[in-house]
Amino acid sequence: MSRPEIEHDERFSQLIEELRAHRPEPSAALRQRIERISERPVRQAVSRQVSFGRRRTLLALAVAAVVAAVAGGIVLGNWGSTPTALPHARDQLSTNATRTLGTFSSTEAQPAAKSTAPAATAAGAGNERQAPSPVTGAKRLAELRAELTLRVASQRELARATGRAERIVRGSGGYVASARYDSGTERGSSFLELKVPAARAQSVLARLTALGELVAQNVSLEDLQATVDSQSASIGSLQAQIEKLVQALKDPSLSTQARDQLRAQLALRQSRLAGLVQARKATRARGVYATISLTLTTERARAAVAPGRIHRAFDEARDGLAREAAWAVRATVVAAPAILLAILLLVGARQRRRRLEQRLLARS
Amino acid sequence: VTVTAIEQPDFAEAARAHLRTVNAYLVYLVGNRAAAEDLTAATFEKAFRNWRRFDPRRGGIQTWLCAIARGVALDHFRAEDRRRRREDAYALRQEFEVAEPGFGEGLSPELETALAALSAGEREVIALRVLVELDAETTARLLGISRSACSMRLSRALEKLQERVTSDVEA
Repeated sequence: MSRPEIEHDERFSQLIEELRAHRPEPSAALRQRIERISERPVRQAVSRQVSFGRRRTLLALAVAAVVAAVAGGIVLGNWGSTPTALPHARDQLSTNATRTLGTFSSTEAQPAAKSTAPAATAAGAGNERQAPSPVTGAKRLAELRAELTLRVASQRELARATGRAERIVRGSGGYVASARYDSGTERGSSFLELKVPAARAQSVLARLTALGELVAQNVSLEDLQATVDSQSASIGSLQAQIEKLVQALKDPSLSTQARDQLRAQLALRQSRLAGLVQARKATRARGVYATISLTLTTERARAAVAPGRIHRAFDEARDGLAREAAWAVRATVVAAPAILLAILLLVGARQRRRRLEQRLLARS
Repeated sequence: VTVTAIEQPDFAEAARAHLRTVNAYLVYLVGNRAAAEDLTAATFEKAFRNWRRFDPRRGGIQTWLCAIARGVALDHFRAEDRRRRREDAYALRQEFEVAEPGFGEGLSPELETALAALSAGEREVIALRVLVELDAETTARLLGISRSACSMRLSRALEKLQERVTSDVEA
């Protein structure tokens, strides 16, 4: 019932008229009191106020938030990225190495355009730095697996490099487990799976690497010593048990039933022992030879395009923003219940205050 | 974003212009002229202290003064409520307030009695809509209720007032 509604409600028109006609008037004493208050000097009659307007304030805040987020993203991106002092780091080797309890793995990829090992400069100290250097104890048994991809200049060079790889492996006491040679009109490739004595694996790898331009290499080293140690311990334990069982069977006072049981146990342990000895032999065999998968190809690897500065800046900003977003999501998830609770408490407190006021006014 | 100099209205002028309205509102709300005059003075005192905070863009002076008056009156009611409870607890309650009749000079006795019989909340909505002549939206905002609830409250208060006046006249 808005103001015109009251005016037009005939039921109350007379009542409203009378109420308005006889408004309570302030007494002269009250007028004087108010005059006295008004006479006091107002500290600041004209105040300069910064008027932003609610929408403009929100817009300004939104813009400021976006600017802050982008700036934060750039800063965070720079913090998390490659230092600018090494601008060519992206163009050089990217190394991803993981080390677990008994495994070492190293993956390296090098674009052909930046290769520092031309095929012509085959062996030598310069190539040693390209060779993988897996970390392992000198006397520990380990299984080494390596995958090498090398580019050679031509079909003729492919045939020559394949032959040289075979000779290098045989010369080091290893052998070629499998070989595949594809020669086409435009491009050719060969694939060799080589078994090399573990002790000579690193020098062989270094020499193989010198056969062409290194395109990719992946070297993994798995420690087998722990497995062998565990198998040896189990074998020792089983041998001791077998010895005891043999001794027990020599006792003439044993009943037939007890003897049968002991024999059964002896047979079981002997069977387990045989299995374990075989397994240990196999484990040791894995550590004797390193496996090298060598791929030689005439195909030119696509040169990695070094991203420009603007590109990098965008990438870094994007990474930073993604990190910020992740933090924002985390913060929201953590803070959401507290915020919700605070809002509910505020709303509840407000409702309660209103109810109390209504009750107070109703009974006054 | 603009920076503007907002011309504050003169307090003395505003007080003179709205004294009658604020006093009328408080008389209806409190139902006691003497108390209402004290509360009116307290309202203007508070308004004077906070005059710099008044922002003309957010509402009229009248609404602002009524909001202050309401706060002052609610404080008064709370204090009265506490006093009554204390007296109920420790002694027989004495009515110190001198019931000074007069919601307005010249009102019929039936209407005076009927107004006195209404609750403060009912008289308040009548005062705001009928005497102060605020629109429904502003009144609802001031009372902290919805517009429909405000209209409903006014309608019921007027009906109640009408019924009481009619029954008194008939009696």
